[in-house]
Amino acid sequence: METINIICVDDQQEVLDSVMRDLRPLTTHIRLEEASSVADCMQLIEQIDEDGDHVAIVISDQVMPEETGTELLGKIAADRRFSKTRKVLLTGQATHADTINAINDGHIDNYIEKPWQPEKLLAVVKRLLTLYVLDAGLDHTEYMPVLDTTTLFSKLR
Amino acid sequence: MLQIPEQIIEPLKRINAVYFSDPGRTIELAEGEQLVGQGEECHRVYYVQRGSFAAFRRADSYDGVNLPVESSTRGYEVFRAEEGSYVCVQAFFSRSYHSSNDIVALEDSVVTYVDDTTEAVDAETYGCFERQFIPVLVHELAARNSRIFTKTSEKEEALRVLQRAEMASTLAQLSAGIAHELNNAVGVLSRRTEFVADSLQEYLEDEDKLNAQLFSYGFEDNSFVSASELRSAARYYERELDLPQEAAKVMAHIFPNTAEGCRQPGKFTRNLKKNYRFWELGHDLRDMRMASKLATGIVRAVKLLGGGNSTREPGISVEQSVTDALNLLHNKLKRVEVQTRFSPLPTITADATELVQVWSNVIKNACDAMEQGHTEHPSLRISAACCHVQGVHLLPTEYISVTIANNGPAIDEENLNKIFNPNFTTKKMGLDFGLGLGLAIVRRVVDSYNGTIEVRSNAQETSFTINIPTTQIHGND
Repeated sequence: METINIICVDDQQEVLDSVMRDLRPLTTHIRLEEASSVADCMQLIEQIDEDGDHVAIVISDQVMPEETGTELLGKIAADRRFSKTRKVLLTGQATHADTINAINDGHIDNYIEKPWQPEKLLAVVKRLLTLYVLDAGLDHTEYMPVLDTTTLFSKLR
Repeated sequence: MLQIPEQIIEPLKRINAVYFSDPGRTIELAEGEQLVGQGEECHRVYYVQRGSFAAFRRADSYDGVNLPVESSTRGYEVFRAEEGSYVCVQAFFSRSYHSSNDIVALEDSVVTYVDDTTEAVDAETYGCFERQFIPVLVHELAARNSRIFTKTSEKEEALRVLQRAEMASTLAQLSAGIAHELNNAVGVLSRRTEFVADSLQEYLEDEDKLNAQLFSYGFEDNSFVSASELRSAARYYERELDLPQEAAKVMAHIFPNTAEGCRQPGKFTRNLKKNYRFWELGHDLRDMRMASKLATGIVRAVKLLGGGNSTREPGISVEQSVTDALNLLHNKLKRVEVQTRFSPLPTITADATELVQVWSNVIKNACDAMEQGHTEHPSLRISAACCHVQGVHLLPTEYISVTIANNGPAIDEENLNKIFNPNFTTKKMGLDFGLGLGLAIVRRVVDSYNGTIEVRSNAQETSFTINIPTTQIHGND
């Protein structure tokens, strides 16, 4: 079975730990990875791609040293290898301009505000994961416990 | 300066020569002497030959009640009449013959007048008296016009200053209130985190030594290993020690060096595989402790800025005040590399609030400059040292010298002279709304300590060095 990865990106380790912990219920079927910067995330993504595994979702913070979350998601959006990858911006302080860029250039699928509610985050990620599994033509029956059934059925109908 | 319409310059010269040249109608006034009082009868138009006058107006009613003019105190200044101007024009030509102001000489002055007995000169050529005096009336109109323009812009400026002061004061009150409330809440979090950690540690020591060890590894975790190194170590442990992903990550945190990790006894690894959550528990409490410490620092700094009523006292740590300023600007400094270097410093006599204000304004400015200049690797270098100056008699000899340097764009020479002026800014207006009111405040505060500020700026570095005496000379609070 191929490995499906979800990557969380944040420069603050404490925040990153919290996101990872909230998404832990998914680790029964997918692999959670973390990155502390845009460069780190790009390196990780390359490695996953080399191994022939999937990058289903990237969840990124906005304000980070060097490069911002929007820049990261823009890079991923522009890379044809990751055209199916779903992108989430998780931020507490994006400006109006950041938000516009995130939508126009980062092509984000969802925008979650900090502090987030764990159930909501999990629900969003499950929904996006379902879409990825279907888009990538994977066998959804293998991942049922971590998918969003409503989304699944509405797409399969 | 009053602009006199060109067309009336020549006619005015004639009027002054013809009507305002009679020595018998010339009066000399000493500085402070009153030419005419408010409400007094006055049948004259005066021409100021030399010197200058100010007109004061006293309120003649208050809240709808008429006041006797004599009883109200000297009012506000209405206008000034310099050499070459005319006074009491309106009273004369409106035939009210009563002055509406007190007109007082500001220096030793000379005036010449005409009155209502003055006859028109050369009426056949120049027309009747009123006709001849039209240029004087135009002069008066021009004077009043320019007065209105000046007053209007002054009023606007005053309102702006007032509004800004009000905003700053509201902000200070607000932040003091918030800081007080938060301080209690953060205090509870911070203390209880310690209690919980201590109790857990004790409990685990009694129950299971290995878990206690895991917990304490997590609680004391202090490793500075890059995310990618951690990741590759974790992958290694996952593969070689057959650990699940989370447990392997914990192992990588405890032993970033994989050779060291592999030397651990099997008992340790087997327990970790099952009980890695004790490490996570310790790590969670460690994060909580760190977060509350950070919050305490921010609250402390905000409280200092909102405080206001503290005074200069001995025993103030400059290092602490710099730390407070950095805490306060924690968010702004996220993308900035900060280096601090303090040589051992004596404490000084100062007001901690004022020091924080000075540092935070300079630091904030540096951040803004680097951001606007799109500086590639924004960095801030803060150093402090104690230095001695061969004293001029009575001047302090021991100074704390704090240098705050950034690698942002240089300040050009023209602006270098202006940066300490109030209201000078190169920042685009808009969302930028800081805590301080800029470098003008820095200068004011530093001056009040008999300190000095040196600014150096070139393409590599812009630095502000602030020298503050460690003691304050008696009598200079």
